[in-house]
Amino acid sequence: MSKRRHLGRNLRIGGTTALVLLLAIATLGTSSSAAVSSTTANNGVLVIDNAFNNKGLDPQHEFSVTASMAHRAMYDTLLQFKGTSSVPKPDLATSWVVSKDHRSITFNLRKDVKFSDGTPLTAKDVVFSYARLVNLKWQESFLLAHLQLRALGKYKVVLESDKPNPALLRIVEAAQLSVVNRKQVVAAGGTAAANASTADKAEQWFNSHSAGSGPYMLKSFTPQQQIVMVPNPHYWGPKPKWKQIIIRNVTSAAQLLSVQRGTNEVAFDISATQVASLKKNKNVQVWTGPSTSIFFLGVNMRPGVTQASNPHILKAIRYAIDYQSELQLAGPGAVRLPGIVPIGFLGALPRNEAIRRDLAKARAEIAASGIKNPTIDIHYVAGFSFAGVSVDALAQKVQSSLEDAGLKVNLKGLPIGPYLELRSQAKLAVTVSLAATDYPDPNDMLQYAPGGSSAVSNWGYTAEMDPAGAALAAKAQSEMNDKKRAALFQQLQRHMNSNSPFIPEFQAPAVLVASKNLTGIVHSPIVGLDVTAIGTK
Amino acid sequence: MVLLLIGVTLVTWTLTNLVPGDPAEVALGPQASVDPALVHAYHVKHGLDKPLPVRYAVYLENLVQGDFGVSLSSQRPVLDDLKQYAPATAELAIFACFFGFMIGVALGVWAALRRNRLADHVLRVVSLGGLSAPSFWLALLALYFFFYRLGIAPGTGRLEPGTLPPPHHTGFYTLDALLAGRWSVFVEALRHLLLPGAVLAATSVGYITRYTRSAVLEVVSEDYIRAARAKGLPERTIIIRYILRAAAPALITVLGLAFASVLSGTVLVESIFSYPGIGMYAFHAAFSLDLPGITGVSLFVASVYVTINFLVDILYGVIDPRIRVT
Repeated sequence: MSKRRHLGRNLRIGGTTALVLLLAIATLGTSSSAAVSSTTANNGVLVIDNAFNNKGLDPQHEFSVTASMAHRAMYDTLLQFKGTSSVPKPDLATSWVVSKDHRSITFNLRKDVKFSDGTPLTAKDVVFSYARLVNLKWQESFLLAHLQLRALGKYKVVLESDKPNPALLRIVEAAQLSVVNRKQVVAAGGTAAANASTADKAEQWFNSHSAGSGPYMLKSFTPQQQIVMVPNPHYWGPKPKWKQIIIRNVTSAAQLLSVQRGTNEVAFDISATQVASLKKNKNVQVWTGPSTSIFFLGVNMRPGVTQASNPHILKAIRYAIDYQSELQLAGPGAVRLPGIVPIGFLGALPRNEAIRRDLAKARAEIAASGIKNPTIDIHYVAGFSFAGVSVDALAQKVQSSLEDAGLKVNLKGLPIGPYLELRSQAKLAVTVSLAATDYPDPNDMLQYAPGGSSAVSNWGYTAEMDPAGAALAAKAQSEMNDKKRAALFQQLQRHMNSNSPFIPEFQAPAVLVASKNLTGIVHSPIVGLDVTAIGTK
Repeated sequence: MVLLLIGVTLVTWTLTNLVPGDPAEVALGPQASVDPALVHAYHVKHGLDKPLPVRYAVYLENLVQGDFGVSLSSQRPVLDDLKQYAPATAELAIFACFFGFMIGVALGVWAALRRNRLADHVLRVVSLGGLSAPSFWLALLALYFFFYRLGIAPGTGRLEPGTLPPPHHTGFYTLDALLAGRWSVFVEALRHLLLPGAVLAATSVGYITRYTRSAVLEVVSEDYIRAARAKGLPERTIIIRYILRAAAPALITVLGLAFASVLSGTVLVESIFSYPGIGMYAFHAAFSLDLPGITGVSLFVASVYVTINFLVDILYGVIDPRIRVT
């Protein structure tokens, strides 16, 4: 054999050896991988696939979906929602009394609750947790704006508001109002004092410990990898169903593949359009429905920013949008949004009141505006998507819809930095906006009413611009009777649909894909997915 | 090198802090960021209320003491974040570059020795395909076929769900598992390197093959190679001791660049495999306007390139005495 053929043979042998080595590594542990799967199946391990969006696990510092799911498992709140019901149920509070002037609620606490370290839970822990949220001056501190919680005894607390607030019972279920073990958190450097925003040092501690009384406790948290929880031996409620719950960081593309192969697995971030490929798969179950997050257009009403603030142009935009086409983009589970209050909330408008596209009316409004060749800029965060809806694609849909009516549209997709810069300078013209609700009560949407915090700061929509709307909002905010409240919110939305700079588009879909044997797979309006409610058939 | 790194800090810090947008708005969220008191408290807490030159001076003073600042998104020291994410990428980079280099050099030599024959043409097309194919597409395909369809490769992440990482010594799960005597974790970590490593190797094999082929072709027609063949030396000896040795400077250059490129973070591959490396960290830092995180990653990447280039320069001198710096 010639030397070159000899070399060629050697190279082939070497190459084959390398390939065999790689395959050996691949298959080595395949049996152990299968063993892991059977371990999760037989030994009670629940796996939740989620594209992580949290920074840590401090309940008073976090407002991400990832952290909320974990906090629901590890902490308790005064009241809780179960499943899709919007009626608050007892949790740490066994009963409550609303004062006659509707400015306070007195909660009676359970006396048998212990934290995961065995410490009994008392009113002091509740007061500490609420005060810490306020004084940290962080994202969700606004939940307790104008509110104060104080202890009336060892197992009694009163939540007081400086004005009647019908949303209190729903606010207390927020994950950020999880009750933490005061002694543990203080020992870790935490504080609820007025200077907590600079003095509190416990945030990092929560990444390796939990201080809750929920059915589970933290075993380990590896940032951007996984959260592992095990049963709380001191839990006061029914025995936890799982030996381990693991929330792991997986992108939505990988979730689609992983959930089809896994056992006892739930995929949280599969989009409504991706889920169509699972129709014939008998190994998984799919839950779709509207989430509580909404997409809408917002128009900057400050003078000189955009021609869209002209009342006729604003109406033209309302009539020009192709809402059905946007629904198709969003995918199954998305629903038309008739007003700024999401469907399913108290006071939501009936679906048949959603604005319909009418190009003739849109063109008539443009003609009535007197503006020749009206041109508007649409700003949005480029490359961002939520619930599988690409904001870029949505902005393009809006552009083509408006151009059908005769409006010229310039799309201004921006990275997050410049977008926020323009927002702080109040220079965003028309925005493709998304709102994720903080608690399932229409009061949460009053930030968009005339004079509301977001309405003023982002879109210049002041109470002076719309005194009638502002008056309606103030009335709805403090009405305690649910029936009257619902009517007032509907009246407000009908008014806003004609006068406000907000054009409701659709409610984003929520999609959950899970192994066929799991029960309790349903979207939670508060935490996205209540992992403690998941069981097996 | 020190002066170079100081220059890098000035450029990266200045550019990062001149990026439009207030990190407080991202961190606090849309509802809370409309409250000026909350925004001010955030600025004070993170030193964002001070003038730029003061902030840079403070940053530099802390940097020389090993303090990269606190990440605005993880709320941990940036150095701790880098210590967690960088070894993950380094482990993946070593794995990918090892196989990429071995396979790329072998294929390049083979293609050069069979110049203009079928094998050469096929390899050139294949290497061009490897260069052209988007890494995220390869990653999705690999995940689909080997994990989902065939079930012979594990899913995403560095370990199976629920497996606790080995005690931290180097941050390399494979090494740390061996040091802790956890053989099963070692095997698991190695298997989880396969798919992302293969995808990264596929990308680097493309240009390593082409570089090797060019480098070998420059040398293979030299008189001393013909003389060696005429003397009857075995072909393997000629390839390894004569041809590859002469081509080594070019190969080391491309290996250095390939390794630095992978070590700097491959966002797309790491995202698809949920591999928590420096690429994913950089992406999250950029998206959340985490200024210290962005500066920390930039400094890290700059240090990697500077160090790799320095090592390559040294290796030149080792391989070829004519290049040694006097």
